[in-house]
Amino acid sequence: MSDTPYMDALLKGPWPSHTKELKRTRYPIMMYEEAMKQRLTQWGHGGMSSVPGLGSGAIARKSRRPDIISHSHLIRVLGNPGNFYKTSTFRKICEIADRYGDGSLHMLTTNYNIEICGIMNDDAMKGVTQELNAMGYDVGSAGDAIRNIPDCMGPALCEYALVDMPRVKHFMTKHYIDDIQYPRFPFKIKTKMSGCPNECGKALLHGDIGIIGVFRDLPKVDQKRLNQWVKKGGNIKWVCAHCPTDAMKWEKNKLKIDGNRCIRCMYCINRVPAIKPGDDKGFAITAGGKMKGKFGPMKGKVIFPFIKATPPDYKELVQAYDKICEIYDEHGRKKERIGDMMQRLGFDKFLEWCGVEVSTMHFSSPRRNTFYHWEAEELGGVK
Amino acid sequence: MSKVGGVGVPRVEENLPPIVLKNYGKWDTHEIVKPGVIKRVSKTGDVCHTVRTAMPPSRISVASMLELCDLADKYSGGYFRITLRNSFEFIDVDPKKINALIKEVEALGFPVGGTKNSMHNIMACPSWIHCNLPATDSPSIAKVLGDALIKEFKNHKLPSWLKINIGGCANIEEALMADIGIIGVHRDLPIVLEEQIKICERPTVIAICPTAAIKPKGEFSVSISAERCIHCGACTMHCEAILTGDPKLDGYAISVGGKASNTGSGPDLGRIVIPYLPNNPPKWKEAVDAVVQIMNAWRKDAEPDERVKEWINRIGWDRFFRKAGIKVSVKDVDGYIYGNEFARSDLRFGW
Repeated sequence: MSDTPYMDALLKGPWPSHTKELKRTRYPIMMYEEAMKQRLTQWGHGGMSSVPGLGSGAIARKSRRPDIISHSHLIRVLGNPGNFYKTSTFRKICEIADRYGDGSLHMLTTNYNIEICGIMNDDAMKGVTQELNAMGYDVGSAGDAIRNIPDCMGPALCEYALVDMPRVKHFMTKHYIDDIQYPRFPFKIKTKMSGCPNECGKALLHGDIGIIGVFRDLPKVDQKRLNQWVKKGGNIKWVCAHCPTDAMKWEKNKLKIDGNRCIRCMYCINRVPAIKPGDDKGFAITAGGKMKGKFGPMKGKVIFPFIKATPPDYKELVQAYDKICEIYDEHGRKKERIGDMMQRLGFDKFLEWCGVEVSTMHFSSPRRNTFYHWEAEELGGVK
Repeated sequence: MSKVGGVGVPRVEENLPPIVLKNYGKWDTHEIVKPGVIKRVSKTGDVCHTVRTAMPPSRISVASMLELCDLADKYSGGYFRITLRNSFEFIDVDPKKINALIKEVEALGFPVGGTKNSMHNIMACPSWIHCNLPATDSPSIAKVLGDALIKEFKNHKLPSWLKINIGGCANIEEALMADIGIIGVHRDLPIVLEEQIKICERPTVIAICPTAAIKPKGEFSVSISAERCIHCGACTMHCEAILTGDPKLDGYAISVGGKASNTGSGPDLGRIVIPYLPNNPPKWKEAVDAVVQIMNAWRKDAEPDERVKEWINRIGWDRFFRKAGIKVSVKDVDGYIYGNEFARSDLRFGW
């Protein structure tokens, strides 16, 4: 009888099996087998490990079972813009992973890094980093730093993309590489980016700072193409009926979009090829989305509803991003995420510090209590 | 800010296939040829076919990655892409060779599918493979769910797309953002290792507890109040000498209705509908049953193109619980920070 009955039970079946993958590597499979047998993880405490001469990105993990393995570390490699890979370079990453680690990869992590797993000592970590650096790749994205800044595929393969996210990713990674590699914040800052309000990158929900492509003017309708699409069997009436704000009217073979109703949600653009986003494109910046932390899972909140995308230096984006990081650096308590900090300090205060002109874009409804904080100047000197 | 320097990431152009580089920003439409195969048409008239496969949850071996690289060399000019749901995507496959590619890649054990109105690739954290916090094992749940729902992965017969994410502990990974999420739940009181607690930063450990359940004890140690603990795992994460996890008590919760897109009623996080199910490796029968039960109720009742969240929005939570056959308990009522907002303040009941 096999000594890994639990893992063997997961070998069969049509879905790709992780136990089969683990068995093809030098991963200590008894750690996983024992965990399933005892219904308790066998790994011990872990976290970012500081290796001299190496940025963050080295993650150490101890084991609770020294009889099987004493420890196992891993290295996080920053993923490519758009997550496009060339096999010739990827084979080299595989070769490095096989030589230094146990031959298993995590493709990809929540922040779209590649993890090279099962590295046993500091020298190997340094070796991996040096070889990766020589190839043009870098490690980072662990500890209380700005984490890897993942993007969607953007205009590389997607017709909806409003801003050039792969290039923004390349720019942001280059610009913030120090903060990605050397942790200096109260806690991690996860940044996520999506090219359009369809939000494949889950920037609003999951990003401490989210950068999302938006447009301000109305969607453009190519009436001729639309009519052809309808003749071919496209159901425009059904799309009109499902518009969340009833902004679309199909009359006499002409589609009208009501500017007073449209909320730029992209629904019609997703469904009808003849409708395209408008021309006034830019970024919206959100902050405070998170899953873990003191006050539980939270959605992000809009801080900058619209800023212009100005390549190649993205001045306004960098200013806005720096501003949020600065406030967090100054007011955040140790191990407190941006969302928790906002909850503690008040969202109004956060907006004030960000220096944005508050507009209706900043709330879903105005407040319903009168517990304001008045500064002495606002009271005309009367106290 | 002084720059220490670093390599950063490769330039965008370096890893783009020629057809993508040529049509960068010029794409016009796309259509799904068949499950897993997307045909993208450019304004220049170029056509690019992509083929998408499922990936094993969490870890993949270098050997398997190299086999996939071989196929990418053979069929897609040496380029591939990992999607935002961790699927493997061959880019620019010759339409005549798509069937041959599907045959070869499925022979390797990677099913092709996960586009449009199907179940998309399942995302899972490493859990018991390489983590100290998890209450449950997400990769093996992902594997058994994938096996059970493989039909939905390989055809387009669901009302809309179904995304399933699994997180092993209260840190949730991305579970609440998916239509159906599974989240590990601890129920035990964390244990303080008295002989090791000296190495932890006591002020941090006390400050990070959201409910002030941790109090100083003696010169170095802390005590944890069983009445106040909400099992969030924050102390375990930041202190080596506090352990959580109990084989008999750990389990997982099931959430529904997460959605990131701004269409319909907008982005929202999921809500927990089943507060606790016990761990049961390696078959995880309870998890599969619960997910299939919710999915079937949605499939039977939803209108075309209606995500789980939009469906629940239309019928209301009263009818959701009835239709999905889930028993409501007091654990479904939010007693934490947002408790008041989620309580019912209207009389529009769905009897």
